[in-house]
Amino acid sequence: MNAFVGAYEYVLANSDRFWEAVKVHLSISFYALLIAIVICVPLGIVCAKKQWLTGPIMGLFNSLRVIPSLAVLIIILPIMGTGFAPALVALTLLACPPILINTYMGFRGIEPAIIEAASGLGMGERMIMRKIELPLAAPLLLSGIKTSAVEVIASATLAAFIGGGGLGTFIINGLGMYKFSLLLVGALPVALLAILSEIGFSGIERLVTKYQR
Amino acid sequence: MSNEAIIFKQVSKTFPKAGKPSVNETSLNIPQGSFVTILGASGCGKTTLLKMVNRIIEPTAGTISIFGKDIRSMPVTELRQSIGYVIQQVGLFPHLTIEQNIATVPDILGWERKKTAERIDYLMDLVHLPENYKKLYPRQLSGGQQQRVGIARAMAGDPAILLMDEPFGAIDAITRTKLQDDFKQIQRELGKTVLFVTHDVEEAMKLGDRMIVMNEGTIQQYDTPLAIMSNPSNSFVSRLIQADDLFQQLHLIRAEERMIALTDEAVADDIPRVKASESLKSVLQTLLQQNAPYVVVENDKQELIGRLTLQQLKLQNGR
Repeated sequence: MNAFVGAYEYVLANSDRFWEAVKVHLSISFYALLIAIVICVPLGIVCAKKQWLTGPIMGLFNSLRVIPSLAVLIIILPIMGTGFAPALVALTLLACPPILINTYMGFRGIEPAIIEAASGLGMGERMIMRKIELPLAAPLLLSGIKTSAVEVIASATLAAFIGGGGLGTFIINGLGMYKFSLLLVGALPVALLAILSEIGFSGIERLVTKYQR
Repeated sequence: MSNEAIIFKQVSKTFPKAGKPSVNETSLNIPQGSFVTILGASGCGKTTLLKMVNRIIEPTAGTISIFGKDIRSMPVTELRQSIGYVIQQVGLFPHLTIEQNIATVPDILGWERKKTAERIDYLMDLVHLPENYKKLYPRQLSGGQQQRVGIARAMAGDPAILLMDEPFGAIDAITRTKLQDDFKQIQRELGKTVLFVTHDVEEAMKLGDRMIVMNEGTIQQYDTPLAIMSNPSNSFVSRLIQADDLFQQLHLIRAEERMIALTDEAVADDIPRVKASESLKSVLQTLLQQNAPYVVVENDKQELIGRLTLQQLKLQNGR
């Protein structure tokens, strides 16, 4: 119990440092997720439409997925040095596979008859994408983004290892100094943020899948 | 020219990597307002023939025109908006409500809300769907109901031509019969030109004013169901439609077509009555069941207009 009180007192005494860390943590997670979405959603759609691309691209990203996050961060270190940028790259790589795979599955899963009906009624390709394919792929796509978001927020703690800042700094310091209260200053907010993002995305998912209930 | 809805001129389609054409140098006229069924086994080219009309499949040779206009002379989306299209898998949009599904083409065409809403009400009524279904989603409907929505959606833009690819093929027999009857009535009422692919002989004969029998990419025969039944052009057609099935033939002829006009003679009360529109098959059934020497035919106003004995039911080479 003392550790919790200690953590609370630490936050009060160092509120500037704490909020700065939260800000860095959130922004690095947000940008990593955003970049991953911008790259992987179109890539997933292309994979779903062009079968010959599926094998190589999916293989590449699936193999990325096998590498532990910490290993990715460490591998980036000699290439890009320390700081925000390499941490962002590492986290983006981490965020990509779930989004890519779910986008691909979302688009592949659409019944061909639905697309045939849409084009048979005179919808153009872009209209089919906007009005039919995107909404139908949205539930899977969103659940991919949700997985990535939670993964990125949790893994962003590791960014502190390569000087990326964020809430991980408290954890590392807490571990190093063997101060449990300091460790909690990092760990509790991270857990909270991960849970909040899970809840937030689940809410959006429910809205999008209203028609299935 | 003006009363031909669809004209195929020397149309061929050979798919890449296929040895022989799916549709081979086919010429064909579909008159406006007619219900033409295309019958054939799978792989005979019937679906290919149909899908070339709205350019889902592009012909490798020849031209197709609708109402005198080459279908390649307009943008493909515009062409398709002007032709209704119904497929076996229905293909309703699962994330949209029934009314949103039906509104697809009006929305593309940019109709006013009020006009679209009226059109939806009219179509729901036409295909016998209760009005409170409008806000439901497709998965809440049965297969037969879904295809009713499919038909309503295809007709939303008031197209003159409807293309239908085995629309009732995945629906159970009882529901199918009802759908066939309802749709045939809609077609008669509205005078739409319908091109309807099926592999079901009975369906092709029942619905079609005229019928195309296809095999291996060529049209074997194109005529009224009765003419094809009584005079199949070759052994393939004969086998496919089982032309030697006399009951089938009797089924296609109405009582009024064979009756002998009634002279002033009195008709005994125990002589069975049949309707003018009844088929000879049901006349035969009546004759046998009631063990009567003949039946009398009455019209819609229940006036006696003719009589039929077994003699009139004898088909001379189907005639």
